[in-house]
Amino acid sequence: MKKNLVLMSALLALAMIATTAPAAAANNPPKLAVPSTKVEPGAKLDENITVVQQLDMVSFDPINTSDLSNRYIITNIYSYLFAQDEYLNNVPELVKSFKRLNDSTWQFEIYKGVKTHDGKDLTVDDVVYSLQRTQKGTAIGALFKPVDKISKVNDNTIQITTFGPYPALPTALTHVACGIVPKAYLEKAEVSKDWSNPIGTGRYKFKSRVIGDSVVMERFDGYFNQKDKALNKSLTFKIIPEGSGRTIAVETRKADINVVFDTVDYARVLANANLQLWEHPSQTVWHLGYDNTQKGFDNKLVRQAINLAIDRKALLEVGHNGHGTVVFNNATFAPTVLGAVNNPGNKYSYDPEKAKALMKQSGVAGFDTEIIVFRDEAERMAVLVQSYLQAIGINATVKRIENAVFAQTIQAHKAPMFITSWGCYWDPDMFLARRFTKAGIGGVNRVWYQNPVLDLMIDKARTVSFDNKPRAEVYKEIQSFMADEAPEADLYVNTMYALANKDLKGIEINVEMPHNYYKLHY
Amino acid sequence: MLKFIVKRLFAMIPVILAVTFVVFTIMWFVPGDPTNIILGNEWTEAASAQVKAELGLDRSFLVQFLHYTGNLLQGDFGISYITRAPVGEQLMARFPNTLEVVLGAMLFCVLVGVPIGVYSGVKPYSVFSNLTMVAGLLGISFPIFWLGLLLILLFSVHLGWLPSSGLEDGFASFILPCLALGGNYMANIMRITRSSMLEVIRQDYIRTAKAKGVKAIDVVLKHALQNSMMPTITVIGMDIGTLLGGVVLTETVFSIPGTGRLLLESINKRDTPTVIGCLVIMAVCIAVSNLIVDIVYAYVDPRIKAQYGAAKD
Amino acid sequence: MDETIAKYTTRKGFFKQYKKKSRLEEIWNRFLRNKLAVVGLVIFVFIILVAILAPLIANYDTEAIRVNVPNRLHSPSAAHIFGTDELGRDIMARIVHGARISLVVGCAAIAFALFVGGALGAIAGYSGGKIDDVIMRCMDVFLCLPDVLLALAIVAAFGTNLVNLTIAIGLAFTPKFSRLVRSAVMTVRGIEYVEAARAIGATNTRIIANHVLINCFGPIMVQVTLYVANAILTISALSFIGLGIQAPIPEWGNMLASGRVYMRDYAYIVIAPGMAIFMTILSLNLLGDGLRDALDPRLK
Repeated sequence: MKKNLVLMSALLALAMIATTAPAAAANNPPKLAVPSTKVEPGAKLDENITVVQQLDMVSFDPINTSDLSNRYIITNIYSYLFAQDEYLNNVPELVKSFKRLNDSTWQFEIYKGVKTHDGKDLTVDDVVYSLQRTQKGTAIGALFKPVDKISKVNDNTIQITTFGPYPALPTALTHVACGIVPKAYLEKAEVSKDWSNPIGTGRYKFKSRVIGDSVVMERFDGYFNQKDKALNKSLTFKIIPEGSGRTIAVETRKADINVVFDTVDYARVLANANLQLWEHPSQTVWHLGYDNTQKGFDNKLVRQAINLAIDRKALLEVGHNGHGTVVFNNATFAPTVLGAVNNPGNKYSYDPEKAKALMKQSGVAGFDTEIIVFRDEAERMAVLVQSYLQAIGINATVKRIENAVFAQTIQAHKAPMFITSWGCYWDPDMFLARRFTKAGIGGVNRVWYQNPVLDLMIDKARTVSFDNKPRAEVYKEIQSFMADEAPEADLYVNTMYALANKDLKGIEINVEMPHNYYKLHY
Repeated sequence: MLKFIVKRLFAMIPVILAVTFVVFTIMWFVPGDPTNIILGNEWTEAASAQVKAELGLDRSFLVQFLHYTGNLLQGDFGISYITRAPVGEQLMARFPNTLEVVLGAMLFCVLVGVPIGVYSGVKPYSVFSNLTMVAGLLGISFPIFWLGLLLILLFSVHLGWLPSSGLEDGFASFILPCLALGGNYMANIMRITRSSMLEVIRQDYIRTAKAKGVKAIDVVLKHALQNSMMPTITVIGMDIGTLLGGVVLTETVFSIPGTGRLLLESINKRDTPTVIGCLVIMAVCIAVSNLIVDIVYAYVDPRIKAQYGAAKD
Repeated sequence: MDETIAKYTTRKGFFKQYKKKSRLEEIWNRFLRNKLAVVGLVIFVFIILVAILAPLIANYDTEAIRVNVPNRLHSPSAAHIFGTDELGRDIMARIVHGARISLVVGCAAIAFALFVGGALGAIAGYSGGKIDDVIMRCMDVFLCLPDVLLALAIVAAFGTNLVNLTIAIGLAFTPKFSRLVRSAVMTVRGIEYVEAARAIGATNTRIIANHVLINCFGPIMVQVTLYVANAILTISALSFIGLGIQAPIPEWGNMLASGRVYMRDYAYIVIAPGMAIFMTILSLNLLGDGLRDALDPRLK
């Protein structure tokens, strides 16, 4: 009995010691990671760099999955016609030049002398075969829907025809599934289903993999673009699922950079002079969606009331510890997307009184509903949203489901409200039609919204010109229209972080994740 | 003896098949399907149907089950729905980690728990004995995941002596997981060893040996120990199941890349072949450890050995 | 004093000391003499009281559920004895309400397992032969899977609401009870008074109910307390993994899971809920051990 007490008091004492949070000394603020890596004289370009991330890769087959944890590993092994830039816009990689013969015919000239990792030359046949395989697969989905035929023109050029004008075609070609793999390898892999020793044309050659633990790749000295080659000798990807474990790995220099930084460690990391935190705004829009066909949400005034009833700043606080930027939008436009407008017409703010007035005006009495979530951040936000909705007479319960049933739940109209995120490409054409028109029903039009006026506007934005300026104007109109329609309530974009030690150089982050690991050096 | 072992190994097969059937059926009824995970934001009815056809998920229950079992009997665990790579690959990569943690915990508990239990059984009213009783009680009351978190809090966060996750640091990474996993287990072993030792010590033949002038420690080691081991061996072997259930929690807390976490991830992704693969491996472990316990029985207890010897004829 | 006088002056008083105390009284007295067991009982009764009085101790809606963002992650203080969690809710309030869920689901699950498993075990033990074989083979298959995993699989299949959770955990413990009852039944089956009862023509059910089960009662009660502890542990474990009680309903396991991320800087978040689980299980174990010792003093 006495021993129990002694033990218990020891535990309590422990608790009190361990409770003291570290003093937040912000003497080492995060730096903005811009894509302007310059190699200084005396730089060490032959180091072995270790990158830690949270989830394991899935497969070296480019058309297997669009998982981010997979993409940012295999894009080092394979080359693409176009690579992704800072805002997920396109940058030519394998393409030397391209032109449009007419509105629906594109021709791309491929570089000569691109070598594969097993010493052969990359041919246009390889490119065509790879892309046709991508088209037949399911991973690229809607991005290739407007693509008609992919064919060879001559030994240097391929031709892609589309159904109608598709200015975003080069951006579509940056999708991970468009990785170019030699035809001979693909034919073998189709039979053996064995992707454990991939061959590509990228900056790195595959070396080894321990499933669930690490992937190692070495610089490919035969890379075709020597002006933009790897600045380190090898890349090792280590998988550490625990957030603090990743931070510790960088603290102890067991790893050079942590690309999935848990903001819980923010204060601790800023106080450590041996570490450097890098940041970049993302294009991942967290939003509160609702089923526009269900009772209550089919009333525009109710939808607008919801947009006024929620405090987006508090939601950012609860969801991502305040690391991000609040967004007032209703069409999932992240602030850095083409033509984005924040709070079109200054229509919305946190105004519970106005929200209550709108609810009264709408004539819809209070009703019961459910908020569906499947991730931790979303769950925390939903509990907060619950209290905001209660103030305007909507009784919501929070229901957590699994990711594996989310699509079915939406299809069955069993998700009257939900909170999730959407990662935007820079080109709104990549997400508008899929999310807000009939074409997206049964897909990612999770708010069940359709409007012929919007359909016309989206079409116009795509076809008005291949130049982005006039398209941006149409997108601005769309956002004002959607602010009035309010088919969903966008909340915020969270900030992307990378944690490295203070000596590492070449850190670049795009709006999705830290990337371009080939530029990391000391 | 060999015939006995072989017979038992063959008897495992119908049990494994039954386990496969049960798990297959449960996964069949689990709502949701892997296409959600595979397609992510590109999910459409059409794409989902295409993927399902590729994976063979559009066939009937019986066809899928027979196909799967047929492969399983040849040692082929099938193809993962998510990675499209052989499940066996994943299991091979991750099971050794689980096994290391489980065996480490077992070794630690047996090496520490049995001597403590023996000593406190021999000297039941000493301070040491009371201490171990209390420790035993505390040990079986600690939830594994809480014990793990507390250990991380003390040894990793506060003192910085041991790593908080993963298996990279060699021996040091195993200390905390094995401690956390073994807490309950060791407490059980201590208690059973102690009470069984208590029972044996009171037997007449012990008193006779003491009266004959045999030294105390010889009494313990030569006479008492062997006879009191049966319940202890039972606990060591039978509780493997508890350890395997607990290793799932341990791997979650310490982020160890083992089959426990693989099982949880696969359930979340509806990757039935991997789920079954993990559970089959665990069931095989339990069956094998039961078999080993029975064999050790035979060697430790001459009465049982005679039984098997007689049965052979 | 009167007793002592009566003992020496009246016949009744004299023979009272030889009157056989009822078995129950005997057991209770032995139990009381075991200090640790009494401690266990006291703690457990305390926990039950806390669970029953939960709404009086802390208001469910305003303190345990409602999000209070400015109040986030406050260390233990006078206003919040155990501190506040990542959504600003009072941890003590959540623990107190979490007690209700754990206790109710734990006891209900074991009750389920006792009736279903007990019935199966009694039938198997009493009938013997083929029926026994079939039932036990079925139970063996389930025993091959660790209980957490079996409950996990069932809950993943049928959804994570309270009813399913109770049934899933109940099913996971059913094989254990069936084994227990079966062996108890088989031990008792051979005893003379059962044969005597059969001789005078009592039906099988009557025999099982009146004689067999009543004599198993003791060991079964001991196991019940120990398995309730186990069930509560399993609920917490499942919630910790994310397949048990869902937020925002407070449950000790899911409190540990959601607080875990903040553990490095706010350790108190994982201390209090874990302590609650620990105390509950400890008290039940002490209780169970005490019962076992009281029922069979030889095992001391």
